Amino acid sequence: MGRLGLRLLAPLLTLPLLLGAQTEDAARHASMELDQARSLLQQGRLEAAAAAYRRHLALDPASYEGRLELGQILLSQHRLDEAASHLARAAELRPDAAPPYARLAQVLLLQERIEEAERSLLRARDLDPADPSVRYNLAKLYENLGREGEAIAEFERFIELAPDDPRSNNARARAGLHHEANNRLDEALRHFRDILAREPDRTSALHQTAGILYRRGRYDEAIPAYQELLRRDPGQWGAHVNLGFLMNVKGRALEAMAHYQRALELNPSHTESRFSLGQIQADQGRPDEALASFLKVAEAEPEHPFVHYAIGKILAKRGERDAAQKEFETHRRIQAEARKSQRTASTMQDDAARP
Amino acid sequence: MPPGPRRRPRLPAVLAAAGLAAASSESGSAIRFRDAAESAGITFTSTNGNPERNFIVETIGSGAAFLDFDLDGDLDLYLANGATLEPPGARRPTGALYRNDGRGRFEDVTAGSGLEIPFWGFGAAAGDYDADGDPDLYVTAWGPNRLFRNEGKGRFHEVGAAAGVDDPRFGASAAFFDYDNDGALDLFAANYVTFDPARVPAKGDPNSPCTFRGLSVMCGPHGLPGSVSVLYRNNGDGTFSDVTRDAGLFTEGTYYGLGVVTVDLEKDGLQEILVANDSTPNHLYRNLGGGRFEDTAVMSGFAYSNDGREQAGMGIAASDIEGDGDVDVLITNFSHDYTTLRLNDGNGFLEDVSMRIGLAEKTLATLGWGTAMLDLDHDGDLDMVIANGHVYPEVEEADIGTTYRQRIQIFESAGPLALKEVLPRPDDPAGGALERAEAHRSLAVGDVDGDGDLDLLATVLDGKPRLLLNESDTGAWLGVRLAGRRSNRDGVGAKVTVEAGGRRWSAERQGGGSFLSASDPRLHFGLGSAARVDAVTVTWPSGLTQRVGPVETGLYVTLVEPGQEAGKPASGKSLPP
Repeated sequence: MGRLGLRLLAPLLTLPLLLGAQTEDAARHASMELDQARSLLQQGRLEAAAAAYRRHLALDPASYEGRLELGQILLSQHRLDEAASHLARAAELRPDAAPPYARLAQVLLLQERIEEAERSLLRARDLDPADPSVRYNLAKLYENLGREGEAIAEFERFIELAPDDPRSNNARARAGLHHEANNRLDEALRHFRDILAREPDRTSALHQTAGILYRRGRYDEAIPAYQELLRRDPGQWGAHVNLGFLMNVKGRALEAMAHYQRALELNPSHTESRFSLGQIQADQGRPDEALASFLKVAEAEPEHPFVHYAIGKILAKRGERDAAQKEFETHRRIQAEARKSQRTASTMQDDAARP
Repeated sequence: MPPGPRRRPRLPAVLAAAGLAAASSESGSAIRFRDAAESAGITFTSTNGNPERNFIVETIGSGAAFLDFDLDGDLDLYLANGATLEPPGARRPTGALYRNDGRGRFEDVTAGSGLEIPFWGFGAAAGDYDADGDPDLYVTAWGPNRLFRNEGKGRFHEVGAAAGVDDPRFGASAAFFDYDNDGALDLFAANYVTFDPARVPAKGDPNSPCTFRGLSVMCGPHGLPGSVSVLYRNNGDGTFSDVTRDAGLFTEGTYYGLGVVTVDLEKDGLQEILVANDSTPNHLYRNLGGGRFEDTAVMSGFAYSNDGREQAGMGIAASDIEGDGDVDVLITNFSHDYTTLRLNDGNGFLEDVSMRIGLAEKTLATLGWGTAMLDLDHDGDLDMVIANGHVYPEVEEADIGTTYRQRIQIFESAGPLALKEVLPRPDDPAGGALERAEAHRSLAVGDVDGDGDLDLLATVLDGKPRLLLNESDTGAWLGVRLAGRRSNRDGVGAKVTVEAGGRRWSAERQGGGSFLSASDPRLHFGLGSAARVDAVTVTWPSGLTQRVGPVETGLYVTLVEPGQEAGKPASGKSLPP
């Protein structure tokens, strides 16, 4: 049995046993079959357990536990139609109980009957608002449907209900990513920091944390976050690139250059690092080095959107106006073409226009 | 998604909320301001469209002009006003005129002034175009620009159409200057976008593709047709001629002009025109003489950011912040980009040093508009002021490192190429003014209360303007008012050098500057601890040079250009306090 099956079956092992309105013998017999089914289930003998559940249900067709537990086994075996039938019957028998709806929703999800699955999960949630698994599944459902706000709400409720659940850090990561995508960077940051508090080695969370601090403009915090990321994973050339930018903004030009150089060692084809390195070299009054960097960029990427301007600027300052003019013309052409393609893609897209 | 390396060297998203920006507190600064609009009697509230900012026309704000319209020696105030796209109903907003009582107390004298004409106004420029001795007003608009001729006794007469300057396009900042040095003030008006609300989807329209960092926002300027700015030559008879094409200023392609300043970058006695363009390369129109200009922005390092990007230029200021005798240029930009300071290398190249001097870091979160480089504390070095505020109210609800309402930022000179931000001091009544965040727009600078230091007036979108009285601990100062004779009456283009205490300061009477606004026409010099001024030298646009001195500090002197009475020593007289 796979992990999914075990997880699906786990809850039913602790369910209470209730007796139906049967004759005493039939009831005893039915009870024995149910005990046997559960014993077989605990042994992992699913087919035998299912057979026992069926015998139990033949004696007691109105057994809520029998329907629910058999439905669970069938779900784990991916026998979805049968599982749905038993779980739906269990729900009829105990319309006030959440588990049949929760499990039925899982069946429906696997059958891609999304709307019915959502209804079933919502019913389960209404009946048992404190069931974390229902919240988690609902969050995943909403996430798949692109309903980010509802997904976030359910992930966060799940985290509240089960902060130490093995799935909780995944929920934090999912909620964090959705917040980040929706420009709620502080909320996203809170989740990623919570992950790191529980799982300090999770470099993906460290990467997200650093990135959000960087986007948020909290450069003094982003710098140590990236440094920590590099300590744990020195091969993260992207972290070197971002640290290069951050150091430059902070006026730490030499450190910025070192980071861009390291990024280039790790990823020699990253022209943006070479371009940025050239910018700082130019800024530091080292035009020859800057020009060498820019020429390498232009060689690697002749249509680079900015490098011809950078080359032209150096030439213009040297008084080589004709050569500079040629570079500026190339820059202008590339910019015009980029603008034209932006227009083609969208006539009014501020993101494209605003730096 | 991890952030990873960025495809282009664009700046990442931004600093902490704009109101909380810079990292280091500069509590030791002598610079402090007090909010005083209300106590000064300025009750005006601007109307700038729908506060939801559905269209770009509703986001630009409206300007202000300091001018001494009644010639009593103090700065009066004109406030331009916008309008609404909806039917106006009973209330039709107009601009406002305030008379200064000489001590910084204002009286609304709009009624009967001739300025109470409802139109959607933006930029205000003041200049004595008809050379009759009093300042006139030019107001750009969405719709025909207006020229208000000052007829004296508090009356203005709108003569835009008759004078031929009623450009119907979407105007922004404007500047009076004398590009051909013929002694008559010409006029340059930056035009922004071609805007027709019927052809632009409103914010929230499901068909609108306009977003900013994932937020649905109003459209523009990108995607809207640009506009061509206009140069008018003063015919000397009260009319102007559109010489845009003849002067070589007609631009092919799309540009969105917003800020303009005229200044003699090349030190050849002719003022260049510098235009801050939104989302498109800036223009630097080099004045070739003979009525001709050439755009040298790209070759001069002025068109793009240091790394070759188009920036979203808004306001502009030009001054010698380095103190090396060359004019440097400051341009405010959009949020998530930085305010750009370009230093003049003396060889015609303007080098973007914003990153190097730390200005970039401290302006990434803000969206700057009006700006000035000026000596706020009279220590002899120029400081910077930037009026900030976003165009998208939506950013207030998003966590993207900027805010809709933003602080006015002040950067104090802290030595060669070093700036420190003057941060709010909420516990200090004279420091808390810098804490207040608003959707600021234009910024006009002038000595409103006649105490010698420069006060600030910032307009606020759909709000009351802010008058920030300068309460800094200041050193010595000198103010210079210019009166041209052979040159234009306002002395625009004149260069003044002040020598005191072994130092020299130079300034030029510029046209335009900042954003949508006109500042104190007097030149202002902070002199540090100098006890007196040894000499004041003026080089007039006519080419005449005059030298006066010694002069006491702490007063305004009026220097009259030797004209028909050439040879007579210029007067150095103080004005009423």
